[in-house]
Amino acid sequence: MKWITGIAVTCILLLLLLLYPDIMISPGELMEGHQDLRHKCLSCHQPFGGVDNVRCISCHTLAEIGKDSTGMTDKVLFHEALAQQSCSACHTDHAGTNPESSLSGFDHLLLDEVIINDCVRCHSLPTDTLHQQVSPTCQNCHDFKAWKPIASFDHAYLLPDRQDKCASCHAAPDDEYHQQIQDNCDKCHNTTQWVPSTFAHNDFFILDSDHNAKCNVCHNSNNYSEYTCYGCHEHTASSMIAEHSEEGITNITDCVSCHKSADEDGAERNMENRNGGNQNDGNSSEQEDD
Amino acid sequence: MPILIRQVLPLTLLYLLMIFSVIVIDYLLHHFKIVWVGRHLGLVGTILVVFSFVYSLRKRRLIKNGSPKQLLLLHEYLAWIGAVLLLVHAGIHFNAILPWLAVYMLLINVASGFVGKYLLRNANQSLAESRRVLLESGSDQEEVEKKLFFDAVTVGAMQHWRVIHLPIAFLFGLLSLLHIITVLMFNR
Repeated sequence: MKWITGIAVTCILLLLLLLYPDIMISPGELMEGHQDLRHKCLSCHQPFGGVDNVRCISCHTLAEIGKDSTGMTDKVLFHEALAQQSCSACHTDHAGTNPESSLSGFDHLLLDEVIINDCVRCHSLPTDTLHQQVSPTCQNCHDFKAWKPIASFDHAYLLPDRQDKCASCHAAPDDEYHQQIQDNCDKCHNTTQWVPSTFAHNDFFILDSDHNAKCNVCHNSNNYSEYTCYGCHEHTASSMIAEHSEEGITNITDCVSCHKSADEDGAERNMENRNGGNQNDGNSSEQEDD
Repeated sequence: MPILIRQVLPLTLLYLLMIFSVIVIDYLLHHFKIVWVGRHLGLVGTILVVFSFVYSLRKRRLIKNGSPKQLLLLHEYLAWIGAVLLLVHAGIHFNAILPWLAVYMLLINVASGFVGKYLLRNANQSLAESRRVLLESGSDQEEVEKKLFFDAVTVGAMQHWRVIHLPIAFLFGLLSLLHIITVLMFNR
């Protein structure tokens, strides 16, 4: 009796598998175009042999693939060149009725060289401002795996007349210092990185070991043409006036005009040079007396 | 302490531990992006479960070697671990009915196994011991049966479970076998 029950249950299950394979064993819904094959697993599957190309090609003519589904011109029909590849390398099914979900792992490297290097055969060229300024060779920045993120970018790929139009892609800095500069960005910055800039601060003041501070220690406003030395030093404006008046210096608002580094002697030399070059310098009334 | 709490509760916790282990392993596979391992765990789990049936063969004297007690322990451990791996393999992917039936039968089979011979023997012994103590203490038969009514109901329910353990195991094996065959047939 037990055996009979077991055999009966087995038969019932086998019958269910044969009659309703789509709900009993199918791992997912077939795509819309294959819906009439829901109960005909062997139309595509060869038992224990996978999905043979022959079964796909019996319905889909290689030279015609893509004509109806993509609506593209004959130029992009490339499946004929892929006769040696397995259809299931790129296409799958049982992934829902949407035909687009059936593309499981398309690899551009399967395409022949002529097609793979002519991206616009299949892809439309981007029309945004950025792409209008760069060389049309997509592989310069993008690889075959994904459009984004880009594989690399080099400003050298910009069209020649766009090389110095930084603001066409980059937002101009909004601080007062940068807003008053009329020169192009490449005077101080390069295309490798924005920070650090190539601006020669040493021409104004040497940032030696005693003055290796952050910008806002001295430039405490948004205007980088302004600075103060009183943030760190103990001296005050009144004590500086007293000290510098001995030298006949009355204008102490622009320290770096004489002090171009932490070197005190350097300041004296700078002052002497300036006085030597211009005996009528208004900063030094004492020199005029000499 | 009632048999329900003394015997059934720990095994219920063991059953819940199995479910919890599955969730943890499944989470780790997703976290480390190695969900492909789950497919292979199906094979490993199946091998463990199949190997656990050595006890069933020994019990029915189809093989002569091996301590039945040791093989019973092996049956329990291998079936439990195998069930965990098979459940991880199944994941929470609602596709075809056949593999899901196999998973449901697996869950029922493990539950059935817990109330199988090991638990049943202990519960029976415990019930008999309680009955003997009560009778020796002077209680009459009617009073003893009244006091042990709930325990007797528990043991009776477990006996029903044991009766259906073999058909459940058969159905689980059949569904799993059909699942394996259809996967091998139609796998690309």
